[in-house]
Amino acid sequence: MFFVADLAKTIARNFVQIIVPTIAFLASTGGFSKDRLSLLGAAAIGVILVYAVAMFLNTRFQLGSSGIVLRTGVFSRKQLNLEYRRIQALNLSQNPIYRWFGVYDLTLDSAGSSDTELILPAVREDVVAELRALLDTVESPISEFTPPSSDQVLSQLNALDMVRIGISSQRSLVFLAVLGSAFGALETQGWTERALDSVMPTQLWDATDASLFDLIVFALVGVTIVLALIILLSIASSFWRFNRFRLEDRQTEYVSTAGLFTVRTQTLPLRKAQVISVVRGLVHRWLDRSELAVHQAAGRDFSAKGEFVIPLVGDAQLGRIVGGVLDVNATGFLRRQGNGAFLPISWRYWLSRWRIYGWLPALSAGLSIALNDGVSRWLWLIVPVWLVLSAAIFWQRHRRWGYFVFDQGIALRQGFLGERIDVFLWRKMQFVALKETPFLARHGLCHLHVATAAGQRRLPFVPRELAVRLADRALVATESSKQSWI
Amino acid sequence: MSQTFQNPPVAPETLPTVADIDWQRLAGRYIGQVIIERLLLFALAGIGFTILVASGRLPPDRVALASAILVIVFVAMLLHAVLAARRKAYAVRQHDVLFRSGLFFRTVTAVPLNRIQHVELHRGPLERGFKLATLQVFTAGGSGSDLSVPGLNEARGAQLREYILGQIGHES
Repeated sequence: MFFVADLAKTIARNFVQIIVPTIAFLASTGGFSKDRLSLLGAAAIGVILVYAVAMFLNTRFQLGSSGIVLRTGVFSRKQLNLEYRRIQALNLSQNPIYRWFGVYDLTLDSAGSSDTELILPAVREDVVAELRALLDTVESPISEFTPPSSDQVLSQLNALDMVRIGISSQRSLVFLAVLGSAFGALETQGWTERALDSVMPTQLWDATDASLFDLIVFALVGVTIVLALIILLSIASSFWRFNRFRLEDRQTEYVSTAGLFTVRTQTLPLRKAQVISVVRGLVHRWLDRSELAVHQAAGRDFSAKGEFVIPLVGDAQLGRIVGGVLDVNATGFLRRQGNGAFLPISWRYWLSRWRIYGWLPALSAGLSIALNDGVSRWLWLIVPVWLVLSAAIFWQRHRRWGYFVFDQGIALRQGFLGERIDVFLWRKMQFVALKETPFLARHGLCHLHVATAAGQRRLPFVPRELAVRLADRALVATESSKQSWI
Repeated sequence: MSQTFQNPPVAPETLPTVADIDWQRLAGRYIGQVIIERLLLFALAGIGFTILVASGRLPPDRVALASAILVIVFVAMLLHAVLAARRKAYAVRQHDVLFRSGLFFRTVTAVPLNRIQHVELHRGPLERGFKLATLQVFTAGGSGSDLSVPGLNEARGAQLREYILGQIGHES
């Protein structure tokens, strides 16, 4: 059973990689005759089959008492040893072919570099159950094994939620890129020049009103179509990834199951969560929902998408899930109404950003306009417009910055239109640093850096005295904690 | 296990602040090491500059100005390096290691001992010449070493490493 599923998968995986060089080869040697095509196809399938069988015969794994051993490879062989206590998470994925055969791909994340994870291809359900039982005995020898029947379903998402995820996805930002290239295409056809010509005061009476009107209608229709396509694509991809999303509370771990064709089961051992990010974009705010990403120690970049994602959470569930994962009680600040609980950072953040991104460009623009004689006087307008605009942008960013200190940790909020809240536990911290620049030192401010095994975050422009106290609080919590941080 | 764990509240006001720490200066020879490092750098730049002048790519009337700028930049760099080296200091407490650096952009980093993954004592050729060592402390939080204390006497470096290793073993 393994064999066929593994084989089918290998073929599917290699199909795309093989088709391109084949076409290139055929094109270069001349002729796409039917004979040659079928001959090459047969040869390719033969090679894949032989390789897949060899891979299958050479891949062996063993569940030992303290860890897993995996031997694999046809030509260059390798052996991977992974101790159970190093395992961060156990994830399953099952595509339609696998579902037919009742097998899973089992991925084990380990703490350490991102590429040391171990994949057991096409394993049966009883192997998964056995591994789970082994992990339970290693991780928590005291707590008894909780049978799946007592699982609490924390969250279940339906088709409407998929649409919600789709429209609030950050992928809509791709829209801007597409729009940019669309304008590029317009440019090459001279449309923008015509548009510019028609709005220039000197030639306004030369251009007919009709052409301008046509252009605007054309642009509007184009933008609408692209926007609709992007949203549709985004909705489709949320169905693809999160269809029938289900989050279960198994006391020591959260388990999520989702997927349209390939069903993924992700496990989050609760003790191992490092940082939780609550993301609320503009649309999220409008829908009164949030996206949650739980980061684990896996050596991956913190700014990347979280490894354990809960795509859509209502306000009521938010506190419960975050509280459950981090084992903290007070999570009221996460509610949208609780936003007032966040303390602001110094307004000098706004001033320094405005100086760097507002004044400096405005000054250089003003200088270059002054030094060039031939330019229109209207260009001077850029300077005040940019000064006002940048002031507004950074005031808004400053408004979004905030921090909330609670018993066990700190929450940092930032954003522009939307917002993102990162919740840290002091005892999960790796190290802490205070940084100050001459500007900050002059005003008694500094940055506080907090580093966890899942990445670093900075709380900028806070009073020095407070930052020192927070750093000390973090150090005391870390140094007195007898709980495992990983 | 869970019965013995206690977590009494701590009033932040009563904690020793970073400002009260007994900072240990680096070995005086470290300044010599920094100066030699900068001199080597300057020698490299000087060689490049000489080649530039000899090949005639630099207009002869600009040579004086260019060398003046080079010398000023070098002196400023040297001054900055020496002053920054004098400001660098470390502190080892019962539960953490601290390091401060930076002349204009100042940083104080604190690494709790129970988060340290491993410790390295690094001695480059120049450091060996000055009988100095760099102590590098690694946690799971960063990509490189998260705290690195240069300019330690060899004996002091080994001492610190032993102390930290001992504490790590003790704490975990």
